[in-house]
Amino acid sequence: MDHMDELRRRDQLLSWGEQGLLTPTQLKRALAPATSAASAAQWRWALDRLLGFYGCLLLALGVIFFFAFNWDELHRGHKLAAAALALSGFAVAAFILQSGSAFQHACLFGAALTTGALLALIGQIYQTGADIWQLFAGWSALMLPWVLLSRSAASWMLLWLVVNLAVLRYFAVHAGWLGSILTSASGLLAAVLTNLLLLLVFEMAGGWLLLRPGRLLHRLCGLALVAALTVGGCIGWWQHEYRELLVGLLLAALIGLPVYLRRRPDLFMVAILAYSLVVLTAAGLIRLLDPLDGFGVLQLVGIQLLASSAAVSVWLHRLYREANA
Amino acid sequence: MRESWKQALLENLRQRGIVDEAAAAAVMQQSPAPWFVHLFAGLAAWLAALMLILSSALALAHDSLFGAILIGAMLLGLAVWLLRQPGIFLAQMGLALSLAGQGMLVYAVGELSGFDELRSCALSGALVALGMLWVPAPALHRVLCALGVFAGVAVLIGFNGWLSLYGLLLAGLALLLWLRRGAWAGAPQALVWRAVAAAATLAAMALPLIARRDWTLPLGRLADEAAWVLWLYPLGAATLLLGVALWLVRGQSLARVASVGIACLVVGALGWAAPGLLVAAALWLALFAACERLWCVLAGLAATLYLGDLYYSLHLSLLHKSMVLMLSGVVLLLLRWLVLRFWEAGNES
Repeated sequence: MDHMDELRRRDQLLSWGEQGLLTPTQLKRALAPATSAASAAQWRWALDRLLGFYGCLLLALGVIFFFAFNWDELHRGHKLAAAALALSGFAVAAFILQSGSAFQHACLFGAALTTGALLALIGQIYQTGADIWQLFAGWSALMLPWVLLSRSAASWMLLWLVVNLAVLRYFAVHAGWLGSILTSASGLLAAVLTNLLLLLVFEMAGGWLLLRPGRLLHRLCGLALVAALTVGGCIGWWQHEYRELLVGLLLAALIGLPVYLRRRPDLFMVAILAYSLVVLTAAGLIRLLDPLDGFGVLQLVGIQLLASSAAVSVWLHRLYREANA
Repeated sequence: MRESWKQALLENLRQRGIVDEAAAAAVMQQSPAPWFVHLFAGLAAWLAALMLILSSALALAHDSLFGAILIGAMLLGLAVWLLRQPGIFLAQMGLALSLAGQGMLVYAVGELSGFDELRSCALSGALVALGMLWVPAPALHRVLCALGVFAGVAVLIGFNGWLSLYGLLLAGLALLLWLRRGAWAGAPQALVWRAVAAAATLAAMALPLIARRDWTLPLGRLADEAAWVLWLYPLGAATLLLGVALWLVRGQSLARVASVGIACLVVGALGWAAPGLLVAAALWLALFAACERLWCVLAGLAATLYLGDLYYSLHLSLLHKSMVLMLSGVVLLLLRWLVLRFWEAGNES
């Protein structure tokens, strides 16, 4: 049995004990022959990954902090050599280590991080005048080979984050981070399209892109996509230029719900789509009831939220039970 | 969507004669909805209840404090009843009414007290939350009530050096509870202990950020008020890490205990400038020992958050921080190598 499965099994037994579904005697017998704590083999498995990952992370962050300090006395050639040395160190270690091992993944993650440090350093030394979004865009393109070699969820998450940062920064040249996105339909649309593209890539080639099957990346992309559509859709009730996002959310629900109910069952994706429709309807109701006084609107929207979220919750719980029946 | 492993686990228990057919069916019937359904339903119920309550009750409460107390008590009574009902939505509605009722009572007490409004609110809030913690309710309600108690006590302590000590005590409480999970898991009040452990973990992870960051300057910087905090918090965090590690290797060979102790002292010295990392490391060890996977991930995320916080903190130069980080990275990789070597040597012998 996999170490994580064994850990999950013990966690579940302890949870049943906490809920009173198992008596203390039953719990003790269920956990036997082991105790309630993690076993030595599980500790070895976890410490191997944890110390390897955080060791590489701290090293890579140390390199980034070092170049952020912008030490004037250090010659630029030495700076570049140090950054290249750090990157090469991670790369060489990754090629020497056993393919697919957790430590190799950690080294490739470190290489992906230090690639960004090297790019930032080049921009700092040669005063390229590039905007921060260009740094993020270049970083995401250059880290792609490391991510493809690693195929680990951590490296893909870093890529997802940097790609999204590049898009956000592109639309945030003149205003604050969130402010510019919320007041720009094109910014929201770009975030939607970026995450839609990433979601499609993971849905179609997830088995090849990820070493271990899982839906974390799909859900991250889905959450960002639906969040951007919901924010834009709600504003769309008031402002004409956001209407595309409102239509986009309806289309996403129309296509996404059948897909994630039948073709690729994923209750998380169904839940975010269903609850986003609840929020969109509430915003529409507020728009419709604009002429009424504040208390009346609050009461009606409150009742609508209660009724529709109750229906969605009950439906989702039923789906979950049916799937596990 | 399937969680067939739970059924397989129950079937295994049934075959081993630990539970009978009826008990296994009852366990499956109790199967709660996934965490994200609870989260979204809770948010929706909370928002809806807030709108309904704001639109009617607050208008009355504004004119009459007695009315506010009465409505608060009624809401709490209704919440206690709703929280006992089966079904996800009623439970979440109960949660919303409970929070609104507690809020209403705290508001009324604050208005009545006349002086030191904040402390009166904190004290009454902590007491009401402590009472509601014992009400049979879903886990989320209990955790929020426990958090309410801890937050109330933190406000009573105020923004001074004692807050650091309080953060360490909460971390210690969380560590103790998680390390003893096997002992209380079957106890009658297990759900209360679990909620307290979860809330103490959250508070222990949040307090280093609040207590050590420069963005709290407008509130009065903690370190300016009490110089002893500068060494107390890192020392306490390192002691907690050492304590957890030694507890985990208790009963093993002297060489192994000594090695673990030395490793913790080295890590503690390196983490002196970022004690949040030491607290997160200690929590992770205790959570892993307790087989708490989700909370392990949260402790890992908290550690990553502290690293982001470290970048912006002003107590050290970036050069100093970079050296400490690189050295820490090397030490962790060295520790990994030593841990694997120890294990292999143990297997060979």
